[in-house]
Amino acid sequence: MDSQKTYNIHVREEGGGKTLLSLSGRIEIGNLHLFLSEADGLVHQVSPGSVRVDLSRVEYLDSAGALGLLQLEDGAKARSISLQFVNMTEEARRIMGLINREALSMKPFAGEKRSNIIEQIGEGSLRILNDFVSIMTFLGDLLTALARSFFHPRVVRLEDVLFYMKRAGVDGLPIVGLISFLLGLIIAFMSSLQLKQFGANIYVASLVGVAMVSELGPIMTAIIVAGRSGSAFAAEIGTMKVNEEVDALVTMGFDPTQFLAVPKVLAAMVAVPILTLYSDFFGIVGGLVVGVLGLDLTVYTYIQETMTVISVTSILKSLLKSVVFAVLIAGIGCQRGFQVRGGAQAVGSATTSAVVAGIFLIVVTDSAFAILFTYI
Amino acid sequence: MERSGRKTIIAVENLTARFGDNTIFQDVSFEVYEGEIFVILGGSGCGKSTLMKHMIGLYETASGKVMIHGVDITKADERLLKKTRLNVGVAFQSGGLFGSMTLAENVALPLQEYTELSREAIDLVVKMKLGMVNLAGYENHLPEELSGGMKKRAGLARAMALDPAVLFFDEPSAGLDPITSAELDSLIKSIRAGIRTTMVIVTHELQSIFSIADRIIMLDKAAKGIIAEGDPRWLKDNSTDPRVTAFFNRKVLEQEGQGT
Repeated sequence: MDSQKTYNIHVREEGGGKTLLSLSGRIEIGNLHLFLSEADGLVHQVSPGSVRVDLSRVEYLDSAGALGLLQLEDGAKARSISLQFVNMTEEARRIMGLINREALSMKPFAGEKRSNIIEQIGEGSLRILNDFVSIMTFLGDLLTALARSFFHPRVVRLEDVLFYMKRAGVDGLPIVGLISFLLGLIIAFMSSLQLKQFGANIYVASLVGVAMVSELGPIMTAIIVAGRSGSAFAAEIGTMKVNEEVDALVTMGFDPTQFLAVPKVLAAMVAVPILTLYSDFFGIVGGLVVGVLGLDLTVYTYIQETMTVISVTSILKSLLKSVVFAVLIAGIGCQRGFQVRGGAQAVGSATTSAVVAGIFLIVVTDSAFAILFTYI
Repeated sequence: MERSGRKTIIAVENLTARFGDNTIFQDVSFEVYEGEIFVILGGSGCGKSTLMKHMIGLYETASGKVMIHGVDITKADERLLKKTRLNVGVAFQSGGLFGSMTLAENVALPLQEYTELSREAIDLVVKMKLGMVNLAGYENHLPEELSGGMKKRAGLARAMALDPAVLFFDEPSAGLDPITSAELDSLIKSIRAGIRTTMVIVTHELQSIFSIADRIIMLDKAAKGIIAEGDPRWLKDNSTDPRVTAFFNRKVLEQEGQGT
């Protein structure tokens, strides 16, 4: 919208302290700022007395223009100048009638209150505490619901479980495979640079095998699933919360945890261990490619060497870890979704928080497992 | 552009809307005159909101023209479409307010974008607009803190921010209690009286229609088009189309039933 001056104010002193302001042209939103400052200047210029404002030649007045006239009137009143509009058209009168003058000077109701630094620290601490409590409560709910599903398998919505298994599992295969393959490749390549110096090339196979199966396979898979599916679960449930779908479930007598979270968690508990095995396999294949192409090992010796370091127990431990990771990722995703209150922005932060909290919990739990497995 | 002495603001010519193979309506033609309250009416699923969204260029048309101020918005390029849209305000069914912004920020957004007003002037205009829809004092509230009716009114304030020549309003009374809905109707009438904005309103509330509409068109799902056009009071008493009389009379009976 252009802000050219499309109006004119003509000032005429009429003697005896009287002034006539003749307005002409268009007073509208595009030039309201010009009009306001000019009117303010005029009010300060004219000598106190009475002012008449002639509107007969105003071609167009929108609501912003009417606001400008009211401001002119208020400005004059503040300086004890009596101001009168003359030749006002019916239309101008109606527009000015639309403006609620009280609204202009009304103080906003208290919206969000600002708190000082100490209050903010307190609120922040309480938030962390409440967050912990709500995660624990949700975890309790979830475990109860899972136990119920175990004893009464019919309450589980099987189609949903299969659907989420496909989404979290099958659809994730390409990215998990690719990342694990490259990871195996990198470990083999980097470690070979060192091991070559000692002529210990063959140990590249064991290194890749042990690293993938006991640590990197489960953890990388879990991180990828947290990014792909944990976030998706949070966004899905969060949007349902915003659309009052969760409330609808509650009023129809469904338990939202049972209905929405259990299928996702069960699906993840099946899909993540399978993805982990798949990731282990691709990591080892990555190592094998470096071993065969770069280190002159044969495929047979590489596999032989890998087999000597990987035991059934180590694979079982890796699977156990990944089941726990699955519960954490899917659980935190659903919990963050259920926490959503408000609108689109809340869904966004729930999604972010699901991924961040998911990855954090994966790493913490993994450290706990490392200690546990060492002493058992 | 002149007919019976009135200036045409919007002309819809042979408009057809289709989603995939599903034709919503076809060959719809009508005109909206300057300064009138024009109501698009019809039962659920007849394409009222779809027609409105075609008229503001949100949906691509299958065929036909929509002329706003003589510009065919179905063929206009982005720049021309944007220029035309500045003259058009749209109040959406649930407000369409940005959830992360306060009411004042919502209303100020078009002012900041399209005018060169100073902060103080914008604040003043925002206060005025919120005052017009009886939301004075709610500047610092977020949309989620408001009731449904208040959101609609705030959406209306935002749509009116630039004093557009045409105002579209999707279902102003849907989901509101009769008193709030009547208040909104009188607000619409006073805005029209004050700013002389042309209004295009989508609704199926009979009470609103009789209280605010100058002219209506009635869409029908089976006919896939307009089955009646004109003054609703005249149509109610004089229409010979059984679908039209059924719509008006059943609804009137329902409302009388509610009233007792």
